[in-house]
Amino acid sequence: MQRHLTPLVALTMLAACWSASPALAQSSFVDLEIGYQWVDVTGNEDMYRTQLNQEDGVVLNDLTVSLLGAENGVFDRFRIDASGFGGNPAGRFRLTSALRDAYSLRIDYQQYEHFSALPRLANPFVDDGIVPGQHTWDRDRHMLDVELEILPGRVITPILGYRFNQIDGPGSTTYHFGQDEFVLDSDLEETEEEFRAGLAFNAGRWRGAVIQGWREFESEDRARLATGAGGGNSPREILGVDVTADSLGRTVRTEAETPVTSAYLAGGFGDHVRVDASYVRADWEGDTTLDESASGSLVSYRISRFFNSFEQSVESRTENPSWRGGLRLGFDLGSKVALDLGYEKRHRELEGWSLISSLYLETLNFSGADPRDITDLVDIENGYERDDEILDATLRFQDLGPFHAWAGYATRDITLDVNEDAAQILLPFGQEGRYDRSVDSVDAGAGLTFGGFKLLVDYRVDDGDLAILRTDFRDRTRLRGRIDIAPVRWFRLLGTYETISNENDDPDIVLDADTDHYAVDLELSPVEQLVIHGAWDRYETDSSILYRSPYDFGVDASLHTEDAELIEGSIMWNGNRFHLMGGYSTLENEGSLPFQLDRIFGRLAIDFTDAWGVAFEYDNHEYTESAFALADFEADRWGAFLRWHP
Amino acid sequence: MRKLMMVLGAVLLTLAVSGQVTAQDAVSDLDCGMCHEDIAEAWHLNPHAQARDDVPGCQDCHGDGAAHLDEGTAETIFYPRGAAGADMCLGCHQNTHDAFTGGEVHTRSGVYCGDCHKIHVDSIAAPALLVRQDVNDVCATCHQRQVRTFSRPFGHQLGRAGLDCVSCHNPHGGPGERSLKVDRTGDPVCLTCHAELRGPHVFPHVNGQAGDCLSCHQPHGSNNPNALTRTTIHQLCLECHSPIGGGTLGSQPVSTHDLMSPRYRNCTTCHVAVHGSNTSPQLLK
Repeated sequence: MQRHLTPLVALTMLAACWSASPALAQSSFVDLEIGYQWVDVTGNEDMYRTQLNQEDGVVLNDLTVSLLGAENGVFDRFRIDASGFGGNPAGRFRLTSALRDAYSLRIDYQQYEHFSALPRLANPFVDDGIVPGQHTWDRDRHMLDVELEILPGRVITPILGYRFNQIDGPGSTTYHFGQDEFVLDSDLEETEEEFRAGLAFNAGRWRGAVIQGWREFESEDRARLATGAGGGNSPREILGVDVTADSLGRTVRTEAETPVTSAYLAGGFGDHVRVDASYVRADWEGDTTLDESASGSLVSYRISRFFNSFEQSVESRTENPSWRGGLRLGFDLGSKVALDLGYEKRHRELEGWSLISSLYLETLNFSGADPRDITDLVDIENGYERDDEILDATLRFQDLGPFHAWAGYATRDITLDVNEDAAQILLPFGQEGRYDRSVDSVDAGAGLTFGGFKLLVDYRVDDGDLAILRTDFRDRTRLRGRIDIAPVRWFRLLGTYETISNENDDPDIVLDADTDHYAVDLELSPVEQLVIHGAWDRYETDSSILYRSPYDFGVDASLHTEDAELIEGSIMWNGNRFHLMGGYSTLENEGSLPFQLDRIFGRLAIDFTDAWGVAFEYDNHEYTESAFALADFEADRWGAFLRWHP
Repeated sequence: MRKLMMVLGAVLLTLAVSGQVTAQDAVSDLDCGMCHEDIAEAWHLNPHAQARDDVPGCQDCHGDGAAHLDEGTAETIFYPRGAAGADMCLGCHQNTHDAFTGGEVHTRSGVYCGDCHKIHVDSIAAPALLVRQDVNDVCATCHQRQVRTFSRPFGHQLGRAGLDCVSCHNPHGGPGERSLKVDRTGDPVCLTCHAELRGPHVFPHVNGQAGDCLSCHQPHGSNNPNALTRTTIHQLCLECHSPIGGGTLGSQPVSTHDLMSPRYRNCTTCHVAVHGSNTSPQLLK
């Protein structure tokens, strides 16, 4: 249960080193809180891990090191922020260091453990009470991003950067093969690396940068038949044959290179015209290979035969150039009026080739005759080309006494050409052709501010023509409002409201989706150290769209609802050496997936001296689905931490 | 008489101007520190005092302090708040951040620099001179409804491993889609972390072609598993894959897909490569 402890040990030692050098800077701030947590889960532990995934173990609650004004010739600003790791499924380390007129360095590292084992997703046996589903993963992601600026703020600033993003680990998936589905154990390792270099320039009013990056992506996904999964998901015989797999394995490898060019230019003319231009271009070129083999008692409708063994190899290549460029202009029309104009064009295209070579061994036709091996070769070329053109203008009125307001217009034109190979098309609907869509948007808003009172309202109307995806709206309206009342220091009442309506009255679609979300927050602070907070939050969505059942071609309405109410309350005392925080929240959804999620949390921190203290934490999560008890869990977490802030 | 008045006027104007200059020259940061002792003492903690050789002084932001020095009233000193305060901040910062140009969403809503940033900090604990130590708490001051969507059971967890509002949103950006950051390739910000889902694929599906991540996912938090926009998979898929009248992108599943059977209600049991595939036209692997 002790995961990712190495970063914790390193960070703690680092903090100790800093403490030994109090004279490093004119001013320094060091804060460390590290301890141990215990987790107890009852019920569906997989669902708990999917949602929260805390474990027993050492946890770094906080490490902050901030040094300013050092005169050591190495840095005059230095900062470390770190948290997580250990029993926490995620951790983050960020270091910034800078020496005026010399360099600026940023190192950012993030680590996540991704876990998913949902009871009903991809689970044909859910009605039999068998959980979780057959799609699970337990993978680690490591991300590192480093950027170094040399001579920051000077006329020319060289920039060097490096990025690393890796995800790896086991999982399970399914494979529809031989007229059954088989569970596979998979092992994935994918890595993206980027080196980048560029120059920024600073010519007073005008600044900009050009950065060239080189990305490499490598992926290997190995899948094997899971132990005991040879019988497949379906107990039914196919044409009198019990479909089984004795072995099944495949490996998919992808390698890709992507040069990335980005540039921006910002400046202005005089005091009243601002200019901001940007451009990004990325040219992906990738190659994929697949090697697969299987044996067993299997059926293929594609070749209308039984077969006992199978081998497949696939070679694919994708080319995907894309670019986007934009220009924004800002005009100050006097001290109270401003005009913003923007234009952006995006282009993305894909050319893909795939050669799929399949060899069916020891085949028989459905009459049980004509034994032979059969080779199936499919050569596919696919592609699409998409262009987006966006134009917007906003007029802003500011400082009109207690009022401010704005009004804006935007139009977006989308053109999509899809060219799909005939070999891919099973039924001649909706897979290729040219699709055009245009959306005109008008929005306006106004605010009123005086004393401790703020009111803000905005309204937006979007008018689209043709839908590309069926869920695209033709008409959309959105109304939002916020009221903030804080007449005295110790009282604040905040209310927000948003309603969104998406519609498409096309008789073959009939999309009608409404969302309302409103909330009220009350915050009381009768004395400076005490804050009492309460909130009520309601989220309602109700959508309907026609769909066609594939098995009988009947048309019906797809209905989805969410009717969720959240109530929470908390209290916090923040004294000199005594900090107490506690709260409770309950979230109940009565929509398509009815559930209730109750949370209790508490934290007590006591500083015995100026430098040393302890903290204790407790939280409880209870998740219940009224229609599916197998998903329920309850989890308690206790933590004890040592605080150190010299 | 007229000439005399002009001469007198010129003399008075000269005296006034020279007097003002004299007073302004006379005011120094030390004078300010006599009354504002705590602020003056903490100034060395401030990045503004560290970033340049010519350290900005009180009057660089607060204007001429002569009258304030004489009278000591709040009305006699410029306090940079609201739009006027933003103009002053942007006098230096406008070009150091390309996103400041172009009508940022907060400015148009009457939210200016001083609402989120606090220049005179008394601790160097808070990053970026924010008014609160946690950037998410700053956003939640107004956007508490959006922040609370992370309380839903499925989706991202705010604050975990540095996942902050500003990881995906640019607080100095524009409204709507322009409030979102983009990956360095110009792709949606989601792909900065979830790089393995970028593709492109020989057999693409939604991402980058006709829709994006938000076509199927609720990024903050969702009441539906896998942060999807629908509770059940077949419902999510069939809302697009039902070309009843044609004209939209999305194929028709073949008639063998019997939705009465659980195996067909979970489309992804077979079509596992829902983010695209290089090896299977039907996204089976």
